[in-house]
Amino acid sequence: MIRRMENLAITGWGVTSSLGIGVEAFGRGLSGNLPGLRDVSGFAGAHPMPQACVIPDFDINTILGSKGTRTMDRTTGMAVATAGMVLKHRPLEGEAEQTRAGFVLGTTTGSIKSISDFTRETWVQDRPYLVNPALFPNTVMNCSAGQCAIWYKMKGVNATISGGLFSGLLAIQYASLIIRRGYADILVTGSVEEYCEQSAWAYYHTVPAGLRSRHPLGEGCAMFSLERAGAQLPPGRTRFAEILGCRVGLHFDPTEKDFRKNAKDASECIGAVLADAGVDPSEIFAVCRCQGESRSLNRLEDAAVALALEGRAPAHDFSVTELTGNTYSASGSMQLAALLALHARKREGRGRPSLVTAVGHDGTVGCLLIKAGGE
Amino acid sequence: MEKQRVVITGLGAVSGIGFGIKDFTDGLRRGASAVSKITAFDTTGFSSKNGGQVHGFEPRKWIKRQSPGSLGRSSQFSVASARMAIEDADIDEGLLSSKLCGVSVGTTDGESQVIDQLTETWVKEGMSSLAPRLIRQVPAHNLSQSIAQEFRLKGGAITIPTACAAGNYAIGYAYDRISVGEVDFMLCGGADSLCRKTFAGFYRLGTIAPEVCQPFDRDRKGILTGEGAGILFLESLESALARGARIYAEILGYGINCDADHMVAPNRKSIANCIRNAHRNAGIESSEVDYISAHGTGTMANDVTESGAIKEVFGARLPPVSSIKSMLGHTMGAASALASIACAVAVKEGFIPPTINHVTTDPECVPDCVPNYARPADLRIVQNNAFAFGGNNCITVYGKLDRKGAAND
Repeated sequence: MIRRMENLAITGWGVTSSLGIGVEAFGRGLSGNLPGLRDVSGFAGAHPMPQACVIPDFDINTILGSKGTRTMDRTTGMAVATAGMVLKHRPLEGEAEQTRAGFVLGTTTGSIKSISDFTRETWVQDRPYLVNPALFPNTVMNCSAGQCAIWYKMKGVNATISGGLFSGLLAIQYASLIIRRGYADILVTGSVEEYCEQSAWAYYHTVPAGLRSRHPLGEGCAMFSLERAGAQLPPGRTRFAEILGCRVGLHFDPTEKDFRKNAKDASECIGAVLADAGVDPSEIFAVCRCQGESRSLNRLEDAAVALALEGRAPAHDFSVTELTGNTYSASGSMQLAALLALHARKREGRGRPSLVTAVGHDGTVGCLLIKAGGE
Repeated sequence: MEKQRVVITGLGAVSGIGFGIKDFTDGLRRGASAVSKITAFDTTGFSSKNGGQVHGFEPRKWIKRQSPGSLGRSSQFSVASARMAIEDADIDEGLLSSKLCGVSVGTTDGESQVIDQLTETWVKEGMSSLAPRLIRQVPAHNLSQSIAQEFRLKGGAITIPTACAAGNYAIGYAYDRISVGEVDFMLCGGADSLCRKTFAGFYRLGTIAPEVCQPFDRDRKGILTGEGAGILFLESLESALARGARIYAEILGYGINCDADHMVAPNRKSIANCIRNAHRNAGIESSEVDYISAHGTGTMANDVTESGAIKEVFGARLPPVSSIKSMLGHTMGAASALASIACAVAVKEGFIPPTINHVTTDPECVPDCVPNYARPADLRIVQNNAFAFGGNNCITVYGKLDRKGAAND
């Protein structure tokens, strides 16, 4: 069996989404139940759907200044801005910490807009090589993580993880092992998804209309500074939560027609995370579900959660997708951010465990277990 | 200590110099070249047209449980190499799905040919004509997920797109997972396919060589883009001994860091630090390294910077350093996985793969790049360098299992 991983503490967090820029705006959006749906006519290109859950007034120059941002794309701008929030919660103490600190960033393809726009130039220019060389680095998937490192001078482990809906949870798994092995002390970990013409059309062509209208396409980035739960924090710092377990893997057979069998198989992922952490289903304070890909998968996720919790209803059970839209690669991190925002508001949840869950069309199930307030 | 020793017991390669470990090894020994005119995309308008394209790849030979047409070329390479590695490891497929086997695959551009194709449709017909079948192939996590699906593996699948160091990242992570006992087995490595986007980008930067790739040569003219995949099968030493597996090499450790300085330019000091990290994590001294498999892209900047970092760490005692990119071209995310495979067979079979196309050694570079011909050598410890855009450096260290003292660890 997969052994329980060493607990990590979340010592800082940041979020950029259609609910606004920063953790306060995010918290207000969640508590006020204010969806971030807005018009996308300001974006480049022709869009299949008039609205999406896009970040209001996200202007890289305004947020990060003009220096070093001339060629920065939206994905990287979101990552750099969000990392800045995390490092306000958890500033690094000089070069010694910077050398042992890094980034683990989840994304499915990097900025598909940067990649596709650059490729488009090879077709529309007079010569196929008349691309803008300054934009070439934006077309590699690890661009954002590399830029974050440059921006904040963090020379430790720097990794990019691709995992679709599971990008955020896989990034946490990766970071956890890297810290456990002693390769880094602090990893700013999360995931990002950018709204653009390309992703909007991809969503339009692959997601059925009914689900598109219920869960419009979203964008965002959420990141968390992770370090050993046992590590001594400098005075004045907060331990927002502890990560008790995280698992992502194939758990059900997508060709299997028996819904109850699939739900049982999927629930085993969640059950295993609880069992490994020694947490009883009755202790769960909140569940933040993904509810991403299709109606049948959403029902499967509901059934799997219900089975794993043995029918007990936690005090809070919700999906952040209702408000932020479908943020795909960013979704797992959005869900974790939503739990942190909830726990910040509901002090009665302090010290109690909460869950993030996700179910994918290929049979993958993901589950993250945290405990709010680690002290 | 919880630490398990981790060994390589199966190898699979799809490359421009051969499919499967036997052909790949033969190619390394004889200094074969993968270079040909690129036909993978339309090269009209480019004056250089050479690359390390894989020709004659028949996905149906290796992809059994999925429809090959449902996968992009990089995933097809990935699954094919995984099947070769499993066959080479001589392990029962049923055992892999009943025990915990994980997957980690590195890449630079993921399903880049699919993105090329979709972008061309966008330009010529508009976004409303994009094919859903192709859109579903785009996500880079398909490169690892398709292996998990093909062999019904429950140990988790992760794709690590850290550009040209990605193969080493994936192998390092796989080594860690087995080392701490999270999983029983790992299939790990890297995959990429030739694409117009990357070719155009490097061409514009003036770093595509007109004919051949000549690492460490005074007159080197740049990289050739290439493609392929390399997958390694890993297990604990205990598991390998228990089932009587053939062991190629042991993974001794790896080092990983970030320049945090420039997106594209390599950084000598940072690379030197990464080498030191790798040696420390592997528990070795630099004087014990018998061979360095270089990142060795054949650009002016990389080869002189990498040589400088090696000289800084190794001082007067420089081991032989060669670059198999001279043979394969730069296979991007697959490069350090294929180079790790080269290290594993080099250790097992006692030879150093050459740097081909070599005429005059650049005095600014390493003095011995094993020019043109493979060299017999008893290799006990070797290191594999990989550097990437974004300042991502990752260096793996491999050792012969029966090297002096190892049996008493």
